Amino acid sequence: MIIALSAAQIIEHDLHFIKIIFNFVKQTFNFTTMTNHKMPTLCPSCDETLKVETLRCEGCDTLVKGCYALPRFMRLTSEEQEFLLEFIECSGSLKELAARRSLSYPTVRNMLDNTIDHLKNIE
Amino acid sequence: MSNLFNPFHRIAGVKALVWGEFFTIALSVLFIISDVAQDGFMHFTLLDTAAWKVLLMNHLAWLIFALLLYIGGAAMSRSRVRIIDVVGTIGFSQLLLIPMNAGFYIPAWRASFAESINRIVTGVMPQEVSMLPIVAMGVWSMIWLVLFVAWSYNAFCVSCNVRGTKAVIKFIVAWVIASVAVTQLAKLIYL
Repeated sequence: MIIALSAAQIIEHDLHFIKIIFNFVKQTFNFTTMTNHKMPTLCPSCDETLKVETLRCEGCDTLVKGCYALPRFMRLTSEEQEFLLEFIECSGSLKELAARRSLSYPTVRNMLDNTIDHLKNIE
Repeated sequence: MSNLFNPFHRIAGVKALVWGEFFTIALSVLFIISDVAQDGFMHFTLLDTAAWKVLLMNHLAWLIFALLLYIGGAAMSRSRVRIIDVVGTIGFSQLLLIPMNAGFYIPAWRASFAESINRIVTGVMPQEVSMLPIVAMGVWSMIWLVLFVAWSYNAFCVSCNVRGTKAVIKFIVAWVIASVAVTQLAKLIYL
């Protein structure tokens, strides 16, 4: 079955394709920019915890607006987040983590205890 | 630079304990060779005594202080405190006692220091005695003592996960009790 397309439809189709390419390039660029910056979790003027207001789908550019609290993990400092991720990578072994970071065992244990305290305070 | 005042972010536990034991033995050997003895927690004197007594006193001074800090730290810390970390890190701090007492093992320094002390003890007028060796010894020891205080306090903070005013008070209390206990033990041992 042959579908005859009008000139206007062909132009519209091409424009849609160009738009997809453009969005892809834009999102790639945005993604690169995002990874270079830390997500702020505290208000720079009053130190209150920030909330998420807008979420965006990178596939179709849909925006979701609302008021969402940051997950507890995101409210830890970036150092604490990195520490916990590394701790999980070491299967929860403080000894291994201490060796990996060239730190003493009590130092990493203190870091873990301080992170736990911070998490409890976030609750 | 931070490692100079706090090496315990890098070393603790068994490794620090082994080094601590090595430094204490090295210190004792230097004391035995130079006829020096520890007659107080941070007090050293020229005394010709048995080698085992020097070795015992140096170990007792270290262990008593470490145990007092462990008791104080374990009581106030919210972390699980390991005794090996406290004893090990305090043991590692013994390294500083070696240069602190350098005046006793460097022959020329020791001779001039001993002569000045002898002249004062025998009643020679102070203006006739050269105070330079005594002052030099005092200043030199003080520098290392300050570093020793910094190291042992940081050892306490890292191994027990404590900080702030309460930690400072517990550290001072442990230092005072250790001073009294070690002085009394020294009297018993050197009798």
